[in-house]
Parts: sequence; C-alpha cells; structure tokens
Amino acid sequence: MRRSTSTRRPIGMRPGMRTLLDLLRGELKGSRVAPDEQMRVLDLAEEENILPWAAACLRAQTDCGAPEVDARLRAIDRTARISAFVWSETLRSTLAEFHRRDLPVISLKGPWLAQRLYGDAALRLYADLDLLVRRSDFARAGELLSGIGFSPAERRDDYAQTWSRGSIVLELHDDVENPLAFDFGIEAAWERAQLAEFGGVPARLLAPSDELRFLCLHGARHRFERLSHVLDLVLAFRQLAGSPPSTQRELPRESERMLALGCMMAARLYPQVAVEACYTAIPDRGRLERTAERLWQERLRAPAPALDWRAKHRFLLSIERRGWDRWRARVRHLKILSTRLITADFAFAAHFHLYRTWQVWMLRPVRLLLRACRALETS
Amino acid sequence: MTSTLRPCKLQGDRITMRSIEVELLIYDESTHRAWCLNPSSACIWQLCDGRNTMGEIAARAANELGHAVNEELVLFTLQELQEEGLLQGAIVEAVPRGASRREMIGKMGLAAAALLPVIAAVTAPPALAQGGSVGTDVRKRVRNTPPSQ
Repeated sequence: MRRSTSTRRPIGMRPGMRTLLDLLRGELKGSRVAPDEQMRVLDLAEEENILPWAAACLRAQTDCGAPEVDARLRAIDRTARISAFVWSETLRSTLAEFHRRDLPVISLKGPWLAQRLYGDAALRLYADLDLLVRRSDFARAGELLSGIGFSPAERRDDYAQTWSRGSIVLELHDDVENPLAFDFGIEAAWERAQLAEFGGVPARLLAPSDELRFLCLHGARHRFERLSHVLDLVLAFRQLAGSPPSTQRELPRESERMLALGCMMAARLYPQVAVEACYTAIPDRGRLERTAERLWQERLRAPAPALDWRAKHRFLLSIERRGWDRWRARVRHLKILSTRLITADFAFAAHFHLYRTWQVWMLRPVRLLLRACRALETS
Repeated sequence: MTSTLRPCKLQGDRITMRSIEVELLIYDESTHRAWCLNPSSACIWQLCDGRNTMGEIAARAANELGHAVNEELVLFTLQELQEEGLLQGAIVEAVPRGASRREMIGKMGLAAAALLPVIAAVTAPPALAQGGSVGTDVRKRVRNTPPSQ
C-alpha cells in the first residue's frame, strides 16, 4: 500500500519533520514522497546533523527518481565518504602512535563509534575526535600529540584539552565530565574497557553499558539539541539489545536518571526500542518523562538555540531528583563555578586591559559583586 | 628525454587508499595529508610504479580510461602529482614545464577536458561548537585555471 506523506504535518512541527521521523523509523518503505518534500527532509536532516544517515534511509526506502534529489543524494554520499576517510585515517594513525608508545587510550564517539553503531563511518558526521587517557598519562599523551603535529589550545576545560592540527580537532580527555557535575566513575569504566581493533590498530573502547551511559550524558550535556544525539542513543540501545544477556546485566545503576532520560528520548524517536527496563524503578519518573517530552517537542518545533554553560548546568541540575539530591548537586555545581574562570570573567577584565589569569582572578569578586548589585536593583 | 622517465608513486605502509565510485582517496600517514584524485589522475598515479615509462603509462591509461592519452597529458598530470607530493623523488624536475591547463584544453579539445587531472587536497570540516558537524570542505586545487572557468 503506497501512501503520500507530503501533506501530513501536525501544527507546530517544522516542515518535513513528520516525514523525517517516519524515515528514521523505517516507516516510509514503499511510500511516494514528493521530491520537494524529500529536499525539505534533507534540509532538516542537515540541520539536525544526521544528513548522511537520512540520505541513506531515503535512498533505501523511497523512490528517489527526481534528478535533483538523486544528484543531492550522490553529493551527500561523496562528501560523507571523503570526510569519513579523513577522520578515520587520522584516528587510526593517532591510535597507532598511542599503541607504539604503549599508552592506553579509549576512543570515544568518532568514526569507530559510527562503524559499530551505524555500520559505516560515512553515515555519521564528526566535529572532532575524542580520546580518553588516564589522568596519570595525560602529560605523556600531550607530548605524543605534540610529536605528531598537534598544537594545544590555550585554555583547557575541566576534563579535556583541545588540540588541533590543520582542520583536525582532537579533544584529549582525562574524564568525560567534571566529576563534580556528573560522576561517571571513570576508574571503574577503565576497568571494564574492552580491547578491540580499529583499522588493524589495537585500542580500547568503553564497555557497551558505559558507552551507552556516556552517550546519554553527552546528549544531556547538549540538552539533546540535535536529533543526532537521539539517533546515537537509539542505535546504541539497539546494539545493547542484541548483546548477550551478560552484557545487558552490566547496565549501571549509579547514573540511572541520566540513563533513564536517554532511554526516554530514544523511545520517542524509535518507540520499538525496548528500554522500559532501564527506568521503571526510578523514583520521580513522571517528572523525568515530562522533561523528555518537553525536550522532544522543542526539537520537533524549532532548531535548538545555542547553549551556554549556564544552561548546561541548569539542565543537569533539573535532571536530579528533587530534594536532597538536587541540593547536593547544586552545591557541587557551585563548587565548580567558584573554582574556575569563565568567559564573562575574561571579558570583564578585558574592559580594564587586564588579560593575565591572576589579574582576571583578582577582578572576579568585583564582577560578581556588581552582578549581585544589578540583580538586587532589578528585583 | 621524458619518454625514459619511470615515475614512482608514494607507497608503503604509511599510504592508505580507498576508492569512492570513480575517485581515489589517498592518505599519507607521514605527512597527515589526504587527497582526492579524479579518475584520470588516479589511473596515471597508480601506473607510476617505477617501471613504466611515460609512453607505457600513456598507452595503459588510454586503455583503462577508454580515451586517447598522450605523453603530454601524462607529463601534465605528473607535474600536478609531484607538486602535491604524491610522487617519490623529483621526477619532473629535469623536463621543461608542460603546458598550462588552458593550453591543454585548447590542444585536446573540450571533450577531453574531463581527462585533465583534478587533485584535491582534502581537509576535515571545521568543528562547530557543541558537537555540531558539517560536511567536508574539499579544497580543490586546480592550477592555471582561468578565472572564467
């Protein structure tokens, strides 16, 4: 039974979104989709960072006979293959260098994840490579990266340092998040990490359960601002469902709220994902469901706004259970903010032509005081 | 003089190649550079094994590409390949500079313009904030191309 999807669009949803969702769910098989709707879907997929995957789905599920659609699909495929080649080879050669120096490293996300979850590195997009090393190896890993032509960025994050070589950006992590904001339990994750090979080079991967938790955390840190975050999760859940039962039992309980939110988002994109077991028992589940629904509706209606650090912290706090848990998290977040300089501090100091870190630190209380005064005045 | 040249492409463990449809992608691990070669330049590059002479490369390339390929086109391609660092040694140093791209099109005709080498240095896309991604920025390097083209 062939059906047309070009006119079905609930009010408030972005043009093409309904068709895009049907496409991602595999529900367009045998459907007739108008060429201009196909183009809209591709525009939307581009905005949501899932262009190569959506293009592959479109080719597989519908008749792409229109020349302009066919030409665009070919161009997308070519670009994605070239891009994946560069990222994959860069990752492979970098991992080979770590292996040569006997430096344990875990590859997070990137082409390796795409190869395993999407079945092909060219079906996912990349902005950078993420490598995780033990804190004790961080300096050595930095030397290694310098040796192969990478240069470090001036400032480092709480848990990562950005390196670049030409247009290649690499984030070297010693954790996946500031432990005060979210305690991933990185040491235990290292214990569970699995040895595997990428392009013939031995390296480590997070255990499937840790990878799932990491993707949930990653999505939450970005407030699931793109469908790509949700798609990663759907595919990770699918992979976990296909794993032997012993692997499934590894699903961690310590980060259950983060995991539950990830499950809820994945289930919204792909209702067939059997994830209820991950969150049936968690307390205050209704509120988390409402958060997931709100995020999902926002995603369907409009492109996500750019997030600043404040929005990120606020969101991580909102996931916490009300009461003592959230207060404890709030204190931890305050601890982070009180111990680091942020862009606003640097901007404030720059007004006085002061740029050195210690000078920025000295001026920070003044900025905070002024801010508090302004807030009082406004109220 | 050029007919006795036996050009040799970059090879070894540090060179990775992958075909995408008719194009060839090459990554050099020692310089961390990547290129995308169109069919004619890929064909000529692969025939540069250090044993084939220019004449032999032209004949074999013509056979593989299904078009007439002369030594001049091979020389032109080798110059481009050498400039990109895709050949071993300075093969084309001893010979006079070949024709420009415009001259080549003039000699071979527009129909054969597709045979002209296109060697694109491939770069990764610039990273967007917040984990965003974009497509590939392929910086095409086509020298001697008139502005109108």
